[in-house]
Amino acid sequence: MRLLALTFVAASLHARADFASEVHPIFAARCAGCHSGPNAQAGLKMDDRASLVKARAKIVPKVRGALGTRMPPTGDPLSEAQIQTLERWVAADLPWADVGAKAASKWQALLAPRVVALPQNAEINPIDKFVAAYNAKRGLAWRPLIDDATFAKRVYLDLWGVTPSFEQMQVSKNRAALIDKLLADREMLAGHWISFWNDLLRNDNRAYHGETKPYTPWLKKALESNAPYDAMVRQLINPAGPDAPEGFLVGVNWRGDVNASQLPHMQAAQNTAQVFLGVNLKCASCHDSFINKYQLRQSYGMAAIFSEQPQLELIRCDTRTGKMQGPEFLFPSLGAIKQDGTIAERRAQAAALFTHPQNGRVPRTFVNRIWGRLFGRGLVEPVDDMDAEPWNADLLDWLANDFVANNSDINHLLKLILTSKAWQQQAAPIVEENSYTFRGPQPRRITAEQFVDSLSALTGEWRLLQNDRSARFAREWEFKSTALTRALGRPIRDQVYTTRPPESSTLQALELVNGTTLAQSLRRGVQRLNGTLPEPPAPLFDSKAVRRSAGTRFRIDVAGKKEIWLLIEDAGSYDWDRTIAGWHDLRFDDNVAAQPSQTQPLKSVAFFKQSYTALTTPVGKAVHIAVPDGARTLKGTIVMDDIGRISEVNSAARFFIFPSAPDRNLLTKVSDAPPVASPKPETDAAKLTDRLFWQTLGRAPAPAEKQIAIEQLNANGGLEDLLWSLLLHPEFQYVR
Amino acid sequence: MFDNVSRRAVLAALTGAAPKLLAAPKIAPRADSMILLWMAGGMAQTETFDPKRHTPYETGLASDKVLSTFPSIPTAVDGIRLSQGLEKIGKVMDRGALIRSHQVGDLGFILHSRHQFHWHTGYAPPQAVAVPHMGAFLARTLGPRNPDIPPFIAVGQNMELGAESDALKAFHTAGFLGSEYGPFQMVDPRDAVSVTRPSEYVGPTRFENRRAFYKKLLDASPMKNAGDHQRESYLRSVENAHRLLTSPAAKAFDLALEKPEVIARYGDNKFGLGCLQARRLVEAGARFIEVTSEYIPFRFWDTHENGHKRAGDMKQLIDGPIAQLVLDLEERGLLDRTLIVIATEFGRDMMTEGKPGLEVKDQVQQPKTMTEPKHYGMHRHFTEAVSVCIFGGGFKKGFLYGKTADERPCKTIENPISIEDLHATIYTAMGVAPDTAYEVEQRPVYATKDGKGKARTELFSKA
Repeated sequence: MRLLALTFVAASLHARADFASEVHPIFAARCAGCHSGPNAQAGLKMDDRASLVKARAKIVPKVRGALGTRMPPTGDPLSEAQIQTLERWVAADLPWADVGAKAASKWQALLAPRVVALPQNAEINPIDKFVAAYNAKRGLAWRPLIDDATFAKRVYLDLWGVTPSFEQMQVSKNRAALIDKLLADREMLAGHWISFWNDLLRNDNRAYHGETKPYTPWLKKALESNAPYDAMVRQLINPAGPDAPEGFLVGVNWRGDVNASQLPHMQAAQNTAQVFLGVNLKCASCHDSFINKYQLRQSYGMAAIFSEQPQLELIRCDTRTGKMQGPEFLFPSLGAIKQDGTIAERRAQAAALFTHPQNGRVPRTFVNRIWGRLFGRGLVEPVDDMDAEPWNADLLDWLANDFVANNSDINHLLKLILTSKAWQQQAAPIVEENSYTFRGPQPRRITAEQFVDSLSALTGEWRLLQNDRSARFAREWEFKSTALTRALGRPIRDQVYTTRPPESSTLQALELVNGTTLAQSLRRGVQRLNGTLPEPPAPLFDSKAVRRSAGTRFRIDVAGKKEIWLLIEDAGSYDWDRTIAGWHDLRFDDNVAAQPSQTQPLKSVAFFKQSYTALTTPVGKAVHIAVPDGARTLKGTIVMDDIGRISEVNSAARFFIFPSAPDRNLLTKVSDAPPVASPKPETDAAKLTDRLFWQTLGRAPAPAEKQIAIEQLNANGGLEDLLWSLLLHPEFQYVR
Repeated sequence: MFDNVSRRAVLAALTGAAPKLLAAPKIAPRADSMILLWMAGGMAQTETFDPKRHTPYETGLASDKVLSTFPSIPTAVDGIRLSQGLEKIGKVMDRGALIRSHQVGDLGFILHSRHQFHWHTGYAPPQAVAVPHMGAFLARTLGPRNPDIPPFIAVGQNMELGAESDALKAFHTAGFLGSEYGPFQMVDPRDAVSVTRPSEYVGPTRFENRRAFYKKLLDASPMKNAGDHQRESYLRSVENAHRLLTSPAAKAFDLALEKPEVIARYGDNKFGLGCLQARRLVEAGARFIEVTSEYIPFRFWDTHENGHKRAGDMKQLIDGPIAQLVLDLEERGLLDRTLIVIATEFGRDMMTEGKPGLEVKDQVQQPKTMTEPKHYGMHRHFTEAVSVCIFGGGFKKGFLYGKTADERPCKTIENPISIEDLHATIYTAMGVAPDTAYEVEQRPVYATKDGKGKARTELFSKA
């Protein structure tokens, strides 16, 4: 029974206490927390009159503290008025009333796979056979199917995570062929789906400071090779080998003491149960769960699979119980786990049990997640509670079986769903109702990564992943989250996230309307579209990151150059303000001292007990130096002061010399190509409008829209604002 | 527009499908707004609000002989002395309550971001659910005062720095309460204009033109009536953003509207101006503002060496603006209904890392005998006794709560107060019961851990 809002009504002077208005609120507020559900304490259930009648002689003494532990055992005792209410109620023979609590669901989720026969009807895709039968039973009609353009937009977004260009949409007449083509580009596919997996497995490329072990290379490889899902599960449960995803079992941990329910092996139990079995063991990690049937010893049984020692003492509400629990799979009928095995042995046995042929929950849980992703709502909701009743158990079970029969091939599953009529129906608006009726896919909010990547594909302007050594184009998932992507729902990955928040908020809108991240992307993107983004120069000299203190000589070739630009970038210092970094004794042809066009401060730099005079150029600002006629070489020494060795300064700098004014967004020459082919510049307003509409909203502009847009293109900042408006357009934000 | 959609769905959309409020016993608020002045990095209590015997530096001095590196000064309250450098705060001490016995979590290993997470959310990480920042909890439970001012504002912390940035992001969040209640963040109050007014990329004229164009474009769409409550809620949030960015209320963020003398009194730096901005925001109707001195590893209050010098610098940074904030609010008749809390994630000591008798792994090289001035200062992390200074909010004035021993190891000897109880007291002052709970994954999550925080009503001037 769910906890109800505290609406305690003061005891009235009724001779018999009114159950619904006087007694029930007491039970709801003070008793039902422990005395309800499948693990009701002492077998007493506050929503079951028979249970209360059996205990009737104890009720008042207990609440008075006259019989053993006073009830409730925590918080303030019941007031005298409340106790008298209960006395009157018991004296009146426990009158009962229906308080409208939802009848407990009788649904029992199966463990084993269930063979389901395909319904007999004219539909071809198996999913459609089930949906046709479902519709027939309820007198529902199929919704009209989406047109080719809408289909193309959906599949590009759902497979590659990027909206298609107008040209790409033109080849979508053969829908199955388009799906195959998109599935075949494994890199694009992985570049989208990795975010789903990172959310699910708490993997982040940028290590979260508390101890975590990211395992992105393993994950990327698995997705790019279309590794079978069951193989992935086995490797996640039993990681072995150099690139193995051990980080999944490690969870997110902090140095120091951690609550017993959050120790690494407890997290492993919670995460493996949630992710693969659709079971919430979080509540059962501290005590027998009040919200589902799982018990403390079951979560410990799972934890004991992953812990250092195979026997764990149950800690109930931060109190040691003295009871021990050895490794036990959540569904022990599938098989036992050696009680004293090594970690490797236990993990190996667990991996086999998770992917046991008689474990139907694992494929069901996964199939349901994918369905939820593609339709906007799972066959079972919430997707992390696979004990809840599906809206179509036959379809779920059939899909799970088919998935396994096809070697747990994820691409096969994707294709099966995307080629179905069910999925290709027009999006049905979300309707609030007591029980869900399937009418087709729901409109879905575009994700942060889809938003950013689609903008990049549209403009041809991609961010670079620059490190000490090199630079390459990368899709949004590879970067740290920005204010923009966080606002659009990218999580920090300190928790398991199985859905992205669909709701919009004012803060999110503020970021879209006024944030600098998007504004900068639009500015650069438009410059690139216009062809006005200058080609950045490649550096003549790049020291890569220099740490703590240094004195390194260099000599570069400047023959034919008219000018050079010096640039120092902060490469991760703790306190740049105290870092002293600069250029010592810059000379052309070993002879002529280099003179900046604008005087720069000279500072004394000391390292290795030597003192050097250095030209210090301001961080992030390129400094111009004219090259004397005929000069052929430039030599010098880059220096960083010993003060950089102090832990609180921790200097790190990168020194560059460029032959022309550098672009700080592109300091290292990039040799590879962007993820998606760059669009050609387009200056014709009408053609540009068409292209932008097609690639954002997935359709041609209506005549009125086209006219408004073309007018706008003539205004100051017109293209940026048109682009902005299309990106914030509900038809782009919500995928239909 | 809302055909076929129930009122519940509309409300859910309006509130961003926020989790259900389960229990919210009514408490009369003593304050309407809260300003959290966060001394990030571990403010040394014996160098600030809980001065002990002063031992000046000399070469060869034993570290364990030093309790404070500054002498103490009298304040406006008999019986309360502060450390030299806090004269101005001392002069307004009779408007405030000083807690010297706050004890923070024993997390087994001192990690700033972990303790900060614990203090700001009331829960020590890792947690099984995304727990919200206190500001978000208050924003969601109480709602905004002025709907044009975001209810939860955070000033001063750069979120993008180095190794601990994800940890900072992890608690600067509304978590399960939904992003509508997340912090409106500003790294530098001097940049406020750019985040509360159309940015330099667009400018005010183009901003209005773009807003009008957007409306026109959406109106011309053949699909405009294919809406549902999701789309409506989205469009409403876009409109809210526009409104906020042009509303007169946003003037509260604009420090250029203050006279130079006022700026000078607060100090023309991030923290000082953050305090000034907090005052303006409270005047304009903000609900919760956090102004942090900023956490950057080894900087500001996080002293691992040169603690004496740095503590002196930090006191100079905070003394003026905090006192001025109190005086200005008092002058405007707002002090009693504004809760100002000056807090930090833990205190400091020369010798003890953690709590006396419950020490944790040492992280600092503090020599037994000091040979250089850089050794002189509070360089270890002390979770046994932390000072919390509170002004306004219905708290007693000129009141001292809790005591620490005068001799090493300076344990708390009277009225220890945990994070749960301190938070319970703060929430109670704001009118939120400490066992206020939201339903998350079918279970309650409380304002204070397990709802067990107990407010120390002896701190309130009226019980």
